[in-house]
Amino acid sequence: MAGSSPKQDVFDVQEIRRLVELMQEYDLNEVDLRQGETRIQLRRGRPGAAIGIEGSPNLLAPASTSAPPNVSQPAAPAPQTTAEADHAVLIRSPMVGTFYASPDPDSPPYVKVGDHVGPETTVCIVEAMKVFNQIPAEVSGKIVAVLVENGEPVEFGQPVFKVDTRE
Amino acid sequence: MVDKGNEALDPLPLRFTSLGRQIAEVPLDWRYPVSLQPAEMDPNRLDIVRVLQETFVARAEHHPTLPSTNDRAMRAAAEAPEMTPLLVVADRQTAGRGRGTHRWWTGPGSLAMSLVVDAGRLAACRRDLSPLVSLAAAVAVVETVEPQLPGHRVGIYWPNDVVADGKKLAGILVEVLPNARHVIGIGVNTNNTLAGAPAELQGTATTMRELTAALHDQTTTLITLLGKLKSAFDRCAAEPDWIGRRADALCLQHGETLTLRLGHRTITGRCGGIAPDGALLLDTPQGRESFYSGVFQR
Repeated sequence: MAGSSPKQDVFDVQEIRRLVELMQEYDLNEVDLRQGETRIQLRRGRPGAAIGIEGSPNLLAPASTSAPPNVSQPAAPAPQTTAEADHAVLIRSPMVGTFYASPDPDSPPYVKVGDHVGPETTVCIVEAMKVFNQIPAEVSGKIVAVLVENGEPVEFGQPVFKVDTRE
Repeated sequence: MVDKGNEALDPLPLRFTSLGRQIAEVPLDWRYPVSLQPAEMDPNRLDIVRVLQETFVARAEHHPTLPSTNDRAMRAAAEAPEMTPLLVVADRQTAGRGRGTHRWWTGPGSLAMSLVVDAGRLAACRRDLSPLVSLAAAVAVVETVEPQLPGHRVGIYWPNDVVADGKKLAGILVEVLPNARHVIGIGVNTNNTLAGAPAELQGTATTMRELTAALHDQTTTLITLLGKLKSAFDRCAAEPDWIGRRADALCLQHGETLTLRLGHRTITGRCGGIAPDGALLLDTPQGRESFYSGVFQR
């Protein structure tokens, strides 16, 4: 990728983050890099994904990951069970901005893994240009994954939470 | 609390209301009959009834003291959701909020207000466009204060800090509720001085009073500001790109080297102004990049 040093370890977290940002910037769905015996393959979203809340049977992103793309190596997440996948939906960011898990730095997060939410439950804030948008869940269920780190940028349509609608 | 009909629409348990406050003060100010107590006798005295009569505000609350006008506005919006635009003004704010852990200091004589506006009134109330409200508010503040500050350079630091002669004059914080209702908080350093301000503000903030060595009528300033806000919202409805272009014309950071922290990233670049969609433009070694959030490293 442009700007990356061949002497760097491709599994360096900062390097992966940079790759993710480049994928978002240039709207790339997949990057496959090899360096000697090592290889990194990044996939982002899935073809034809709709903006908003949708079912996510193919989502493999682990909880508390800092980036939306799936990182298949070296930290491959545990695959979901079929039953869970069938009932999982994603809450996506409705705008570009910065993700905040809590109303202010001194407060606990709006929601955490295991919490039950309803359609009107505020799950996070997405801030852009000092406009703090309280984002409602718009779905009922249990939070099973928080997909973005507090204070990290998010893109339009990027998944921020995964919700199991069976509970 | 007052509204256009001069009657309370609900039993809000307000400790102070604008009408109640005026009536309560009459016996203390025995020199003037009630009808001859013009607000202009004291530039700091807010004539909230005149504000209602001369602006698009449907309902208003005027508090001597509040922790935060935005917090009160959000609660009031939940209590009486049918009455907007709702204005909340405080003569003194004890815990004004800014971004993150930042606080907005409000000295005696400053203007602290929050306006609750329904989604239907704002063209920019689509969530993906709501950041434009932030720029619209900054443009409205500049257009309000600039005529009162002749000879001073007034403009915007992206996204919505209003500065005069390089020092912060006004701050804006917009919060969007889950129902897309917007709470627009604006603090303007009007007639306050920095004498009692925290030390860290002494070199970075300024006030209209200190710039002009004169007092500015709070009521007129607020009425003008509300009119400018309505104009900006209406213009946004007809021509969404206008706000970005207007903010770019008022942006004082063109050509400056800026460093922005965005999550784990730190980006340094030369400011290319504000894009029509409101983004900050930075020319970096990787080329021109657009940013919609981030905190400047000064």
